[in-house]
Amino acid sequence: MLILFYIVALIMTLAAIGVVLLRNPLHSALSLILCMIGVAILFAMLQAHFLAVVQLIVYAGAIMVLVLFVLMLLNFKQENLKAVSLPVWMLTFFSGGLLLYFLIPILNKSFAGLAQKGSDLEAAGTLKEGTVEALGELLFTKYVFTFEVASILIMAALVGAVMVGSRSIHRRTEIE
Amino acid sequence: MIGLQHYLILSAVIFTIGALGVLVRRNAIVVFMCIELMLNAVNVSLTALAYYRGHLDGQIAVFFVMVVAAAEAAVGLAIILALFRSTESVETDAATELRR
Repeated sequence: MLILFYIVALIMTLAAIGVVLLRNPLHSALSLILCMIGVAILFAMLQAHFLAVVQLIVYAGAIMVLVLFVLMLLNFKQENLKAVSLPVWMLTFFSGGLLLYFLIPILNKSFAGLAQKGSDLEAAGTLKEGTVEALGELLFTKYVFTFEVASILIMAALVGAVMVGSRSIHRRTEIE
Repeated sequence: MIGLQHYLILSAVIFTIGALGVLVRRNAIVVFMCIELMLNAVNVSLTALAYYRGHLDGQIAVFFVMVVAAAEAAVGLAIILALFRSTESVETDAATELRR
């Protein structure tokens, strides 16, 4: 399991670097899909079965397909990465290294009491598996208000996307 | 034995790469994809904490993060399309005028 985690972590890190450094945006999108598949594997390793499937269906299957649609609709030239000057790249890598230099020791020591707890719960048989029934029970009892608010949010996003993307409004302002 | 720190450090690394990508890249759609990368890193972190805490509230939070990400994808891509129609370019440097 530890070997699987390291392999998935390496693939995810390389795919994430690929999203940032690849010149063609289509290659970036495919690299991001690879990273999301890695995230789904991690979810499955963490006994979050429902979330693993939803990640593949919604994130990799709907959101990234939407991004690929938009990329195909606007066919443009590849971005000139050399147009970003060298001091900016150096500053980027330096600030990234600085951030990780401070974050990693903190994350290594934080939640120190929890580091073993997952496998303890699994051995004791009391691990809450992320199945549909368990998540549904929690979602509709404790988080039902958040659930309703999320549905209003989706409807607002739908209306907003149609209003912003619609062509007739564009033409109306053109006539004026 | 995989510990919690493995997942948290991986999440931090992916988040940092995504954050730097937002700052460096000038193509608006690639900037959007780096934002999605950051959201995925946070999802990994939340799920790992849910596993190691022993309850499912972290996974509910991931569920809602995915809902918000889907809504944001729809609206953000509609904005990028509208921007492309008026300026014929998806570079973030091209959107320099507030009205045509």
